[in-house]
Amino acid sequence: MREADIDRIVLDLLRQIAPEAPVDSLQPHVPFRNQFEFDSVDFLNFVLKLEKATGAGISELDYPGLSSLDGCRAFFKDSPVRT
Amino acid sequence: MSVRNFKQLFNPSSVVLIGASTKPNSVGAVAMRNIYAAGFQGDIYLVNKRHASIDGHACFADVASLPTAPDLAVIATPPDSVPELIAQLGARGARAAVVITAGFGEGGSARGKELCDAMLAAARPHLLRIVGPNCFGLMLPSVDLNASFIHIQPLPGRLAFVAQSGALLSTVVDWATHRRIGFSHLVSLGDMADVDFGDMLDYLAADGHTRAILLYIESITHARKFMSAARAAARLKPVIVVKAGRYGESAKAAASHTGAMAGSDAVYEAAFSRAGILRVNDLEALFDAVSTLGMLQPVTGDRLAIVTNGGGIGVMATDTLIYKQGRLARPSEATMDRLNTVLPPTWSHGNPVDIIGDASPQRYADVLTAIMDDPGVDAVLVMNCPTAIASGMEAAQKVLDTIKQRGAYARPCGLLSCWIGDGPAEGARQMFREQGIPSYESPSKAVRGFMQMVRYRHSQTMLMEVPADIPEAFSPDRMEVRRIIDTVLAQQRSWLLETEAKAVLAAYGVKTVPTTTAETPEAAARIAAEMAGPAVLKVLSTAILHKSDAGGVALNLQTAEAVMERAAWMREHFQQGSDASDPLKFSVQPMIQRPHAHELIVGMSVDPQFGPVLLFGHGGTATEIILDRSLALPPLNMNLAREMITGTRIFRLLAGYRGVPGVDLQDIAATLVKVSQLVCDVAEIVELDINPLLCDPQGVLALDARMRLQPADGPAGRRLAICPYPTDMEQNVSLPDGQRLLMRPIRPEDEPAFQRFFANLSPEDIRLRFLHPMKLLPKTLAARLTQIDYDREMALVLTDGDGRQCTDLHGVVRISADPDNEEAEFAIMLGRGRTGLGLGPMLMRRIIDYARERGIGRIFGEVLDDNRSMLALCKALGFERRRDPDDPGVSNVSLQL
Repeated sequence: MREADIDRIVLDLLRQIAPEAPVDSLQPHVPFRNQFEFDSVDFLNFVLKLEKATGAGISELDYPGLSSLDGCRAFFKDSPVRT
Repeated sequence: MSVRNFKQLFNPSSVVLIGASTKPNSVGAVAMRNIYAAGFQGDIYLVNKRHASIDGHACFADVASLPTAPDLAVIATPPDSVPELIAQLGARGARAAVVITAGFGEGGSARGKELCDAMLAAARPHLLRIVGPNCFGLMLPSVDLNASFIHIQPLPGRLAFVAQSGALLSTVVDWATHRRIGFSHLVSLGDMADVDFGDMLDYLAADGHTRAILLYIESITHARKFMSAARAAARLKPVIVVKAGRYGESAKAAASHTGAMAGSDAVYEAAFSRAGILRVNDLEALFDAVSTLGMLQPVTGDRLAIVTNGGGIGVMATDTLIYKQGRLARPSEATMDRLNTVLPPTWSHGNPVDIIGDASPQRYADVLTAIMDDPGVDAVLVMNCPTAIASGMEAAQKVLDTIKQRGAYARPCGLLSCWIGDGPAEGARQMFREQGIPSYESPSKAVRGFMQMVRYRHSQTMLMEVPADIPEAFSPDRMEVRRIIDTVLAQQRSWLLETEAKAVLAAYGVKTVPTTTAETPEAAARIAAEMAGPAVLKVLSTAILHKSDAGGVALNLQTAEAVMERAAWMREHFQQGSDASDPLKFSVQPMIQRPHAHELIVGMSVDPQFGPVLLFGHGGTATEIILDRSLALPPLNMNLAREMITGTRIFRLLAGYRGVPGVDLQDIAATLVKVSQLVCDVAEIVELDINPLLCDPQGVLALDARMRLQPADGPAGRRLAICPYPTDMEQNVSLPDGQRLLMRPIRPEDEPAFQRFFANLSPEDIRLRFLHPMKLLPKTLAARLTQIDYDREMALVLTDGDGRQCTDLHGVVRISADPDNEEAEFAIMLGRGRTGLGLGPMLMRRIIDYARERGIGRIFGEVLDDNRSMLALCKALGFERRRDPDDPGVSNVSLQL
């Protein structure tokens, strides 16, 4: 999956889950929770929606890796684009 | 494993006696008298269909007529009536019963066995717990309940005593009451149809009122449950056992050396040692041990310094110390210099430190200070003989003053005292005990007390060892072993050929001597000719148990001709009477000549109670005669393996002696760990001997090996008495910043990290997790939460890096299943600053998956209503929420799996 596609999906989901998130000025390497209010439930909702949006199965062991934009990019880098 | 309904059993609010009797001295009459005499404050009901009242107490005709459901029933009616009574009691709402009645299959009666099964079947639908049958009942002095037919009322106290034998319980009550020793619980378990030692240990470990648990064991049921419960209990309080039958039943017929040497008592000894239980020989030692261990002396080793004002008692103490395998401390030169300056020239100039009969209190003080500062001294036994020159009381007071002055920051050193005599010495002993210093009236008792401390401390270390199910840096060829095992079983053989047994060992990395099979004497000669040097020829047969005894081993054959000649003789000698179509084969191996090598034995056999048991000892053909061995339950790690080695006499030879170089103990320990792993992996192996295992500075080498198989009746891990640490549950977790965490099952050695983890939580986090504020995590709770039984609980922790070291914990999630594995309670804690990284959902998901894999039907938990984030997480994970009707402010969340 291209980085631009990953970013689009992630930022879109963050807007839905945390409407106050400064999505446009997001720092890719900093965990979401350090940039805006983002608790465990937000995290779980984010991952579940991410699964739906990308069609990828996400094991719980991969959850912590998805806690920043860079983490999401790395995880989905090799995933096929959902058609 | 269950302590379900133990509250009704051990803290009942009402008791019913079924079988109350008017017949003097009958069990029913005595039990009734005891219940009333002890002053039980709850409701007491009597059931007797023939009498309206007995001794002025109203009787009910049957269970159904009781005005309320009794918590506890005591049954003393004939055995035939018991199953029906249990059914009625269960239906009426009772949840616990003590069945005093005998006649339930003890001695092998089929009818009794049927009744016992019927009784348990009647109890099951109600989860009604049964103590007995065939027992003396129970006594709970703290709630003034004596539901037994024992002749005296015990005193209240903080010791729990549990025995199978009722008669022994009665003896203990008699003995202890006259010595003013009191109890929290006295329980006679009888035939242990339901409640057994494992259940009692679980319950008493958690009972805050019980300070020490004393057991009198004849045999145990459910070894794995017992070991789990004992290990958990022994971390919290002293568990001391007298095990009867030390010398009985040990010489069972066995086909292997290991089987012959692993007598049942030795296996119990190994099990107790691994469980952190202190074993003593008799009742007197049992109660002595209680008082010794109750005084927390910082004894860290077995090096004892003896300070005495009488040479004779010093020698007596030394004799006992050496006999009990303790060590006399060697004072350092610096200490000797200090002693020379404070003692008269006639002092003993060594340990025991004889400070001479005219020793003043100040001399005691000076010597004690010097000795306790010596880094080579683990504990000091200070002794006093009464003399007309110096006051024993003043000396005792001075010793106490000296200890007080040393303060809390002085070097830790244990102290025991022995003030000999009655009269004033008794007062001195009392003074010591009041200050937490064990005090004895004889040197031998004092040294015994010291060695109990040493053994107890050692057992505490042992019980912390939880070997992994897959040791690190060890990759056996399991496929090869499976192939050999399947081949042998397919041929319906139980014994492996020597070559097969060696191949199995080699697949597990045990060094074996290269051994070749020869079909004929000529082939044997050919193989021998190809080897450089002399050969060993053995008959290759599973029918001959001890080959060398039968002439089936020829050593040091110098030529190929000699090999052929000997092989021909063996064929003629052993072929007689056997199948001519299957000619006898041979094994040929090089003669290993290592002049200073030791012959060791490493083996395994299966104990009917504890399952696989490992053995290490002095090997060779005379191994059973020498009988120098130590046993241990698998799984082993290197520490436990070294422990086995040091438990033998040959260990002292292995360390080197009189010009004979020492051997590499690591190599032997590694062999033990490999054999332990083999036993843990392969359920079919039921007997194994490596004898001899040759050992010298070049390493170890298995010269001969035997192995017996039996088709497995379950997974290999199931037969172990100690559940191994489940390595396969370890998983790596990466954070986006590259930090790597390890999620793994919790281990006992995590306790300090767990304490730090707790200390770093905010008061609010603690309140939300424990449902109430807590400033400190009690040691008992920390121990309970870190030493878990992986069979019935699981706790996963998140640690840094590879998690092998005791690094910090970042989160913990756990479930604790009920005995029936139907439902489990969960709990989760995340470290400060660790939220919002997906760790919480990850841990929850992982533990839910685990519970599902275990076949648990439902997981549940209690969450405070103001813990909104946890409630929201539970909701997102599909949990249902119900408010707790009995506890406003708390919600019950549950998830059907």
